[in-house]
Amino acid sequence: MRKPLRLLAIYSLVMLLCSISLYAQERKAVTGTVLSDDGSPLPGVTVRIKGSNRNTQTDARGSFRIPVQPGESLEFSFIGYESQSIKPGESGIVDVKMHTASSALEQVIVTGMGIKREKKALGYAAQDIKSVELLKNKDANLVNSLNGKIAGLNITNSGGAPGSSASIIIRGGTSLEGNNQPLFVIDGMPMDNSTGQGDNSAFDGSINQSTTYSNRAMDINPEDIESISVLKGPAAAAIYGLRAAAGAIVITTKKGSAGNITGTVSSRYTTNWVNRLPKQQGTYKQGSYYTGTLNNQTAYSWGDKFQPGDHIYNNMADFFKTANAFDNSLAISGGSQTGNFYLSASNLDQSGVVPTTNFTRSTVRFNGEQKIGIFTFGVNATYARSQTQKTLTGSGLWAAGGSGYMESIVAWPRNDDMKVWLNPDGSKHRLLPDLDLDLDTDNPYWILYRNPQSDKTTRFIGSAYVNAKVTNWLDVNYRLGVDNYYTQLSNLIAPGSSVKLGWQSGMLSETDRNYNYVNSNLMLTFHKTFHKDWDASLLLGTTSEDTYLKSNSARAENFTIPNFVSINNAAKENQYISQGISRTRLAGFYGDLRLSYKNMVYLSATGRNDISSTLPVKNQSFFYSSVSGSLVFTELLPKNNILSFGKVRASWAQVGKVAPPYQTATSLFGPELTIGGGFRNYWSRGNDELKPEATYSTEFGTEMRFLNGRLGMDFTYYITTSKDQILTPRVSNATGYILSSVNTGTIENKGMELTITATPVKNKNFSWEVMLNASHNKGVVKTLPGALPILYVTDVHLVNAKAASFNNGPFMGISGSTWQKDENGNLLLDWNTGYPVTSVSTTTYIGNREPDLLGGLNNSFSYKNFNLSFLWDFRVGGDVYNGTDYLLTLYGLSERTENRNSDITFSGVAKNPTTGKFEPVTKTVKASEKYYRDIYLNNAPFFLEKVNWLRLRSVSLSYSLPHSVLSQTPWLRGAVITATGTNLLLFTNYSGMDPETSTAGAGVIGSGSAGIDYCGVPATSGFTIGLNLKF
Amino acid sequence: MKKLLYILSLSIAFSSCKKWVDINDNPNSANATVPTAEQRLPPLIAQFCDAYESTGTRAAFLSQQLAVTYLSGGNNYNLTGWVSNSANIGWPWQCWYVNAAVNVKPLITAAEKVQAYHYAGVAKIIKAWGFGTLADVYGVMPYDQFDSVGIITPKFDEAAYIHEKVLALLDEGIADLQKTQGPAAPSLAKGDVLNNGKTDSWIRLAYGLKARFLNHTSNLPSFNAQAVLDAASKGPQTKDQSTIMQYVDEGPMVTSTAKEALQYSNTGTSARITLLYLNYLTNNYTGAPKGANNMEDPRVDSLVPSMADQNGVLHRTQGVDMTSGITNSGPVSYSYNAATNTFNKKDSIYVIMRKTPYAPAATDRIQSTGTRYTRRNAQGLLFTNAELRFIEAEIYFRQHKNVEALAAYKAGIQAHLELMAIPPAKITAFLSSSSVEQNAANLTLSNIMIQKYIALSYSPENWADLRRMNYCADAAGNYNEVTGVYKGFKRPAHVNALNYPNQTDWPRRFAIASYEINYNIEQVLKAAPGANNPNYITERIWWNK
Repeated sequence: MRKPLRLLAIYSLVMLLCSISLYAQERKAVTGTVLSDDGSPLPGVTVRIKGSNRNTQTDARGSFRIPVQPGESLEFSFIGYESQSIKPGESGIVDVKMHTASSALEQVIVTGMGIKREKKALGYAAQDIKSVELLKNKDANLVNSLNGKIAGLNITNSGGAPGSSASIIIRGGTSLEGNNQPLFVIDGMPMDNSTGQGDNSAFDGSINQSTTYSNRAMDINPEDIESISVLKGPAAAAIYGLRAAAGAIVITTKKGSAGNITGTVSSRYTTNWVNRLPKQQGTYKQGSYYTGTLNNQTAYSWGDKFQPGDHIYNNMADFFKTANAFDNSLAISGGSQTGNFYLSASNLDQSGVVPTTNFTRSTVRFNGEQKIGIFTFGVNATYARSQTQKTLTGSGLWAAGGSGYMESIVAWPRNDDMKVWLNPDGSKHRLLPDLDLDLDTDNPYWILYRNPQSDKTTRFIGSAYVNAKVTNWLDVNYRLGVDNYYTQLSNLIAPGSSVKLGWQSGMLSETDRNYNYVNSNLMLTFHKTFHKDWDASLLLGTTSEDTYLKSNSARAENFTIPNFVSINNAAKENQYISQGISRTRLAGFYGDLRLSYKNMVYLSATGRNDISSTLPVKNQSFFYSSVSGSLVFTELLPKNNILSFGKVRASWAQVGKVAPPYQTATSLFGPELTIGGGFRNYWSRGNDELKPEATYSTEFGTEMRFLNGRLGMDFTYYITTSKDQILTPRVSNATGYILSSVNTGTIENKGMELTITATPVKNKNFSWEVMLNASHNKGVVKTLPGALPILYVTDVHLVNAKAASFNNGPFMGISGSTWQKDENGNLLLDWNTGYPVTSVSTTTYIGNREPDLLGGLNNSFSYKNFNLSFLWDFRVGGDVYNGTDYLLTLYGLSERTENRNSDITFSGVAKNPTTGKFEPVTKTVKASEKYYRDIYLNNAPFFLEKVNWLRLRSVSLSYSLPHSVLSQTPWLRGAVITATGTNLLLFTNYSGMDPETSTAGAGVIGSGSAGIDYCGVPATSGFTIGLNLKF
Repeated sequence: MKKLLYILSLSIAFSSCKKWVDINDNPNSANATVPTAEQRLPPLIAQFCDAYESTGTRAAFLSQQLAVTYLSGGNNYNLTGWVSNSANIGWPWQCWYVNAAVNVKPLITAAEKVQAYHYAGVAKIIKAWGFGTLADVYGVMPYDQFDSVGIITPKFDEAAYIHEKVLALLDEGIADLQKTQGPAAPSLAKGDVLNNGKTDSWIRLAYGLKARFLNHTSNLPSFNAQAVLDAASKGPQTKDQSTIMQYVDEGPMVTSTAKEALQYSNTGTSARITLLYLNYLTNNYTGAPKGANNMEDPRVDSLVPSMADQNGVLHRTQGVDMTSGITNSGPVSYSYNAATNTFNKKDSIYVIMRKTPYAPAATDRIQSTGTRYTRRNAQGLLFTNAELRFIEAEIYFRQHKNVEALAAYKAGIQAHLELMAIPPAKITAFLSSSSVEQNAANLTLSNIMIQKYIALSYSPENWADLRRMNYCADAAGNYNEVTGVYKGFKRPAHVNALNYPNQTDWPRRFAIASYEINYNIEQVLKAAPGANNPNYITERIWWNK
C-alpha cells in the first residue's frame, strides 16, 4: 500500500511538471477588476456565473474575464471576504470592491504550508491569534504572550531572569525523550526554536538546571507578527513532516498594503519586580548540632537561637531589585497595485531583577513582494542580535561551578550580612574560612560580579519565493529559505572562587556555535470546480532540509595573570579545545487533496514520504498520511437565528519522528589524557536498528455559533498515541553505558479543549467580548523499553525527587524517596529509635505534574476610544515539587524547621527484635536536626503540593486618540496610549515561589522540568506604559 | 514507454536523494570498531586503575586508615562514619562499568583480528580483576548481562557466582598470555602502560589474584588452603614481579589530574591519618611485638606526613582518634599564613597528605612532607609480592605451622619495606629488631594482619581482610580487645545510628550505586531485597557469612 501510493504521488507530480500545457477558453465576455477594502487588487477571487459551474479567477492584477449570457448574474467569492452577487450592466465592465468578512463564520486561518483556509473547512482544531491580541501583553519572549490565550497550550516560563526560556507543549508530550515542543514556522519556513544551546556540561560544567538560556523564538520581534496560527495536532501539521509531530506554531509576519505609506513608532517602558519569594525562618542562626556538638563552620542554620540584639538580615529580599525595560520599534510599510513592502526595526533593553543580569535585542525586518505578469516575487528577511548577561543559579556538573547564586541566596544564614562579599582590603570575604576553598559556599554577589556568563547571538532568517499563477487552476510556488545564527557563549570562573581545585585559579570557557539551516520547497496547487457544487484542490510538493551545526569550544584553566580574562592567559597544557559538528538532512515529498461540496462537506487527505539522514539506511525512508473531514450541518437545517452555524469534524493522522544524528553507532572518547593516551567507548550506546517513531492521532470536534455569532463554542476531543519512541535514556551503568539508544515505548495522550466566545454587548459606543478557553490532557506511558520501570529526564535530578515518566503511569510523574510502609499501609518505625524507617530508593511514584485543567479567560471592553482588557489564566491540579523548600529545610531555614527539637509522635509498626515480629507501636521522639536532615527530608511527599492558581496574567488599558483630534494633525493618523500590568494578582495554594516554574528551562527534553521548583530566578510582576503612533 | 521513462527518472531522483541524505557518519569521533588493540589498552588500564584505586580510597576511609576534615554530609566524611550511600560509592561503579569494562570486548575483538593474544589475555585479567574486586565490595552486581545488546536493565548476579567466573577468566587470560602472537600482532609493550609488556608479570598477577580471591573464602567450609598456596607460589615473588602503576607528575601548574596518582587526587587536602593507623605503624597496640631491641619502623615517614615547626624541625602528624569524639566537629581544615609563619587553626597538628610547598625553597616552611602513596608521581601498588607473603603467613598460622608463618610474615614485611625503597641495611636491622616478632610461638594473627594492613595501605583488599577477620569483634559482633584481630579498631564516634543502630553492626558492603537504584531498581531488589534499607550496608556478603 505504501509504495504504490508513494509512487503515484511522485508520478503525478512529475507528470504535471513535464506536461504543463496552457490552453485558452474564451468567447465574448464581461471584464472587470476586483479590489479589496483598501483598494489593492485581489487575485484569486472566484468569479462564477450564478447557478452554473462556469467560473474563473482573478489574475494578479485582480482582473477577470468571463463570458456571460444575458440575464445571468456574477457571484464573487474569496476566502476571508464576504461574497457578493452582481448583475452585469450594459457596459460589460464590472468593478467590485470586496469587504473583509466580519462574521466569525467566514474566518480565515493560515494552515500548513502557509495556505489560507476558511476555518469552517477544517477537519481539525486550529486556532489563531492576531497582532493586536499578541501585543496586549507583549513579552520579550513571544511564547509568553500566547499564554492563556489558546486552548490546549501549556506554556511554562522558566523564571524571571531576562532572556529566560519558555516552553510550549500542545496536547501533552508525545515523546518520552525527544523535544516535545511544536515546530515553529515563520512565513512558510521552519525556524529553530531550540533552547539550551549552551549546555556544554562535560566541557565547562554548566548545566541547564543551573542557568538560563533563551529559546530561539525570542529572536523574533513580536511587533513584526501579523498573526500566529496554532496547529494543534498531527492532523493539522502532518504536511510539515516529522518535525511537526508535536504540532506547529505558524507565524505570519506583516505585509505592506497598497495605498498610502504608513509609518508606526511604538515605545514602551516596563518596570518589573519579583512577585513571590520563599519564606525563611528567623529564629535560628548559622551552625549545626548534627553530631551533638555545635559546629559553626557550616552554611546550615541549625545553630543557636537569635538573641535579643542580634541582627536578622533579610538577605533574600534585599538582594532583588526593580528591573526596567525600554522597548522601541518603528516600522514603515506601503504598496502599490503590484507590490508592497514592510520595513521595521526594534530595540529592547531589559535589565533583570537580579543585579548585573540583562537581555538586549535589536531586530531589523524587511518583507517585500512584487508582481510581474503571472509571477509574484517576494522576500521575508529578518536580522536579529541579542545578548544575555547572567550567571549560574545552581551548582554545575560535578559542582564544578561551585554553588550558584540562587542556591546560595536561598540558603544564606541570616545572621550573616550577605552584602559583605569583599573584605575592606578588596580580598574575598568567605563565609566558611575554615573549610577548604572548594567546600566553601560562594557569596551570590561574588558569583554575579566575578563569575559572569553571557551569550550573544546574531541571527538571520530569510526566505525568497516566487509564485506563478500558471493557469486559473494551477499555481506553482517555490521558496528557498535560510536560518542562520551564530552564538557566542562565555563562562568565567574568577580566581579565588569556591570551585573544584583545577578552577580555583580561574577558568574561562568560550563556545562559538554556528547554526545553518537551508530549506527548499516546491509546491504545486491545482484547483478545480466540478458540477458547480464540487471544489477540488490538490497540492503536491517536495521539500529538502539541510541543517548544519558546528560548535567550537575553548577553555583555559589556571590563569597566568590572575585577573586577566583571556583564553590565551593560561599555559598551553591548561588550554582545551573541543569541536562538535552535527549535520542532518531530510528530503520530503508530500501531497494534500481536498474536496468540498456546497460549502457543506469538506474532506482532506494528506500523505508524506520523508527520507532522513539520521536513521539507519534500511529505515531511512518512510511514509505517513492523514485524513480529515467536516460537515457544516447547519446547511441542512432551515436558516435560523438561534443556531447560526454548526459543524462537526473528525480527523485521523500519523506523523513520523526521527532520531538525533549519529546515534546509529557508538563513538569514542579520545585520544585520552591519561597515561598512554588511546581510545575508549563513548558513554552513549549507538543502535543500528533504529526506526522512525510514529505518532497517531484521532480527533473529533464541533464548532457552533449561536445568535448570529454572538455566542460561539468550539470543542475538541483527541487521542494521540506515540509508538516506537526513539529514546536515549539514562540506563543502568552495568550496561556499560550511561545512556543507550533504544526504540520502544508508547505514550498516549487523551484530552479535550473547549473555547467559548461571546459578545454580550455590542453597540455603537460600547462592546464587550469574552473568550474562555480550557483544556485537559492526560499523558500516560504505555510500554517502556526493556522492563525499564521509570524514565528520567536528564538535568532534572534533585536529591530526593526527580522528574520521571512511569511505565503504565503518568508521563509527567515525579519519583522520590518515601518512608517505608508495610503492606497494610502502616508506617514502619525503628524499634529502638522510634523514628520512621527511611528508604534509600528514590524511585517511588509520588506525584504527577500534569495539571487537570488549564485555561484562560479574556475580557475585552471597548468604550468609544478606550479599550480595557484583562486576561486571567487558571490551573487546577497537578503537583509541584517544592525543591526550594527542600533546600531550605536541609539548611534549617525553612519555616517548617522552626519547631525543631520539639516532640513528635509516630504511630506505626516496628519489628520487635526478640520476637522478630512486627507490633503496633506509638513512639514520641525528638524532631532534631538529625531527624530533619536524615529522616524528614527522606520523605519527598512532604514537599509535594497539588497546585491551583488563578492569575491575572495581564490587564491592559488603551486609549486611541479620536478622529476629532487627529483631523487637526494631518501628519498623524493614529495614536494609542497603553498601560499594561502583568502578573499583578496571583491566587494560589502553593506555598513557594511562583508555581509556574520549570527549573531547567525549556531546553529539557521528554517530560521536561515543568512542575519542579528548585532555586530558579523568581518570576516577576510588571507594569508597562506604551505609546503607539501611526503616521 | 513514456511511463517507464518517468519511473526510471524517478528512481534515479529517489536514489540520488538517498545519496544526499547519507551523511550520518559522526564527523566528531571515529566509530567504536576502529581503534586497534594497542590504542585500546592504555585507557583500559588507566580507567581500571581509577576504579580499583578509588575503591581502595573508600576502603581506607571505612577501614580507619584515613580520616577526613569535618564536613557535615560530605561524601568522605560519611564514609569515615561508615555510611556508604548511593552517592559516595557511585564512582567506582561507574568508572568500572562505563569507563573501563565496556572496552574489554572491543579490545579482545581488535586483538583477535591480528592474533594479538597477549592483549586479549591482559584484557581478560583486567576484566577478572575488576569484577572480582567490585563483587567483593558490592556483594551483588550484573555480570552475565553486562554489555549485552538490547538489555538495558541487566540482572544482578551474586558475588559468589562472579567469583567462579573470575577464576575461570584468569585461567583464560593466563592461557592467552602463554600463546605466541601472530606475525601482524603488535607487541604487548606497545600498549601496556602497567607491566611494560612483560607477559610474565601479567601471568604472575593472574595467579596472585587467584590466591587473593580464593583466600577470601577462608571462613567457608569449602575453603581449600592448598589451592591458595599453590596459586601464591606462582604469583609475584619479588618487587619487580609485582604489578605497580607508575603515575606521572606533570607539575602543579597543570590542572588536568589525568596522569597523577589516584591516591594524590582522592585524598586531596582533606584526608588525614588516623590514630589507629599511626598506632599500628608504631607498634602501639595490644599484643604488638616488643622487646629490648625495639626499633622504629623505617617506613613511618614514608607513610605519614610531617610538618616543620617555626624552627624548621619536622614533627609528624597527629593521628585523628576516631573514637574520641573529635570527628563530631573536626578536624577542621587550616591555612598557612606565610607573612606571620603561622597556621590559623590548631587542627594543623593533623597534617595534610599533600607535599606542601610542592618544591620548597630552603627558606620555605615545610607545611607537609607528603607521603609515598600520595605524591603526584606515586606508585600504585596494585598487586605486590608482599600481599602473597601475608596470605601465606595467615594460612600457615591457621594450620599451626608457626615457623613457616613467621618466615612468611617477615618476608611480607621485608617485601613492603623494599617496595617503600627503604635502604637494605635498615631493612635488615628492622627485621631483626624486637619490633618485629622473632619468636614463632609468640606470633599472633593480629601481628600478621596488622602488618598486612600497613603493607596494603589504600588497597581495597584491607577492607576484605577486616570483614573476614570480623574487625576486632567477637562472634556476637561486640568489640573484644582480647579475641579481636584488629586491636583498637572501634566504632567511630560519629557512626550514624540510622545505618548502624546496634553495637554489633559493622560495615559489610557498599550501598547500591545510584545508577542502579534509579534506572534498574527492579533488578536490584530481586538480587538484594534489603537494598532500600539504610542498614543494607551491614548485610554480610557471601564469604563473610
